[in-house]
Amino acid sequence: MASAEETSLNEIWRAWGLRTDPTLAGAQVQAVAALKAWLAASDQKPEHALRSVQVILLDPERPDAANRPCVKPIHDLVIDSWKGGGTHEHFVVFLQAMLLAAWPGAAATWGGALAHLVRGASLALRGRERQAPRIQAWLAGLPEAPLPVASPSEVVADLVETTISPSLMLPNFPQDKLDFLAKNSGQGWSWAQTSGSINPLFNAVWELYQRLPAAEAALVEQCENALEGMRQYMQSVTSTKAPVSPELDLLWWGQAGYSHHLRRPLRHIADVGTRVLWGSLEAAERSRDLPTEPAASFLVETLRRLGLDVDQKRPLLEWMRELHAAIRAAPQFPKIQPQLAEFAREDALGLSITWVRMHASERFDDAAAREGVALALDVDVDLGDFAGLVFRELLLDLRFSGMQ
Amino acid sequence: MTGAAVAPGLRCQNVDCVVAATGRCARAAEFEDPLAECPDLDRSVEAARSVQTPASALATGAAAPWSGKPLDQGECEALLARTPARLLAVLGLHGAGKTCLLTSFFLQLADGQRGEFPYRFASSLTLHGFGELAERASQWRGQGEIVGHTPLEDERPGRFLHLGFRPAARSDERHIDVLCNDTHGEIINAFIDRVDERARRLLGFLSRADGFLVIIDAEALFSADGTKQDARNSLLVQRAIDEAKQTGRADIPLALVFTKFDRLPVDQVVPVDRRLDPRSWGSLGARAPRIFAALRRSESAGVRADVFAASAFPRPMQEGQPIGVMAPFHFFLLHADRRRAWSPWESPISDTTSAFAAMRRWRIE
Repeated sequence: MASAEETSLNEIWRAWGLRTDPTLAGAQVQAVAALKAWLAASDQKPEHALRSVQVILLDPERPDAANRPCVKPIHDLVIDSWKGGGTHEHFVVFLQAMLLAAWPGAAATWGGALAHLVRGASLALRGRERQAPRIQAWLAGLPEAPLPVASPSEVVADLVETTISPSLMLPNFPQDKLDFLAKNSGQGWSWAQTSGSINPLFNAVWELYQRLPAAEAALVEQCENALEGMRQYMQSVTSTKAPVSPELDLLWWGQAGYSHHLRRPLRHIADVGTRVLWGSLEAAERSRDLPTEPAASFLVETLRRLGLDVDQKRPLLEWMRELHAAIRAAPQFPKIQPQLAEFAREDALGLSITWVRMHASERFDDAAAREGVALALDVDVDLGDFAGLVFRELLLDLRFSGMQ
Repeated sequence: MTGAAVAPGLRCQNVDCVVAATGRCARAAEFEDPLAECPDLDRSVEAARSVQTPASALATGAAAPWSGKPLDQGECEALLARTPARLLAVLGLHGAGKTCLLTSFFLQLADGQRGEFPYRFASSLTLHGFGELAERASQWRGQGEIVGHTPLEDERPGRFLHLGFRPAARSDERHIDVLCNDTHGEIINAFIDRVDERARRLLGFLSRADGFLVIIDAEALFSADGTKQDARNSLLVQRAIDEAKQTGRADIPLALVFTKFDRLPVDQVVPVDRRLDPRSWGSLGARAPRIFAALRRSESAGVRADVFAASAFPRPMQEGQPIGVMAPFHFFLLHADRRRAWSPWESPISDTTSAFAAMRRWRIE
């Protein structure tokens, strides 16, 4: 029976007009398995997932596409596992199909979770009509950063805070709450989907709660400690010194429209590129733990409110030039982190903003930009989408450096 | 032939890459910097001294990466694994002028006479194939067959000619591969009748086609069996539309080309927006009612059809220029190389703002 990857590969194959060859099926499965394993290592080596995204975005008709540095590690891996499967040199389309088939290997990794920050590059992709539907569907399906996985002890702590502690705080535990707990003890709560399958734990807590009156002193002490912890927690969240949630922090920043880096309101910055640059940085710094797309949208709306015409369209190359000038004029703008710098130095395909940051000290060269980023830089992009690009790549820099 | 001359002191190791008559590199436009990138160019003095002629290459057994001969299906598959090549299905009855049209198109393009055609000739993996056709065409003196008939294929499926293009727009650096089948008319005949297993196998590539070029001998429509020609060609148009529909892709281009147009007793310019109307074609339209009726089905089938008139070799090569040859290819690439911007993605947002997630964050802080 064909594996899921094999089925997926054959389906992509056919959609892209390639003929499936049953005699090569074994070699293909082996190559896809090798790619999948390579992608699964993206937890420790996020560059695996990011290189794969670059290869999938690469236009095979670009000059020298097969010799892009991003292709090499994947090409070598496939060749290595192919073992004379009859493939050919420079088979970019073929590699792209196999990467899409193998992508589930990266889906649950941290590297895979970074991939969505690079998909903004697709704004500057054109044509490739055979390939586009499948790649676009894949781009749309790239998940935001996954939720931190809760450990069992965290889940127990959640339950203590929401069930046991409140019950100890209230001498006469209301009957309706008891009824609620009793009713739900054998069923799934809506939040159970978030915290995983916790019904058995919930049942255990319920049992514990019922036995509380006869519990040992040690257990009571533990519960009192939990209560104390809860009280402290309540105090902390009502204190004026309490840490601000990232959502609130971003909202406050956006409402204020103030640049903490420059120590002046963003509206006092006349240059469009500079305003986008610093606005995106401030928003990215506050969005490390937030869903990317709503945060990007919030940034764009903030910039609109501050007077920028976010619907203004210009070729991506022109926006890059403007950003380059803004970075050159702002020596205090944070330098690109070494992790991303090293990654992009080898190949910056699709990373238009990172490329600009890397070449901020040099004169802007159109040809070098086209070659370096390998996108259709003549595509018109509106200022809002461009600000989104800047935001995502700055966030990529922060998250990439934060996870290594 | 256009293209950069191989620089003095540099010798191409691939005898198939150089146009023998001019010594020019046939793949020059394929590379940004041929001298730096082309693996066949060797800078060494030894190589310069031992330049291979076709005969010496054969004698030494030096293998070229490509033969220059028409590609078979396996070679096409290999190309498709590297690049999303556009496949143009060329269909026409025996003697309709399929090969002549392809040859004329190649000659015009390679000679730099691209007119409004928005691509430059960049390369050909089947240069020898085109070269042979061009050689035969150059010997034609106005009588008899121009390039001869395509050989009937053996069991090895496929006979494809390849052309590489570069967009004329300087900002577009791509190298686009186009494959055109050069299939014997008898196989097309069998294909129309839907009964021939061999024809079905040999034309299996049609399901992958990015466009269709249906070639119709206009002169034959005025002959004694013109009505039969009309009926037979209308079946071909219907088959082409069916095949286009089966590709499952929207707006597949189908260019219907009336060849040998110079030999017709008609001389009228048909407005672009009325080319699908037989009345616009005067007596030709009257001679081809079934063909135009079949063509009317194209719209409902999601096929983008247009009609062209061409004359690939109105006179011997030294005496006259082809007429209307570029237009159907232009039409094909206009649709097969659409450069639409990708639509923005829409993705679901993960639930990171649930009460438990927030609580854990507070606990950590």
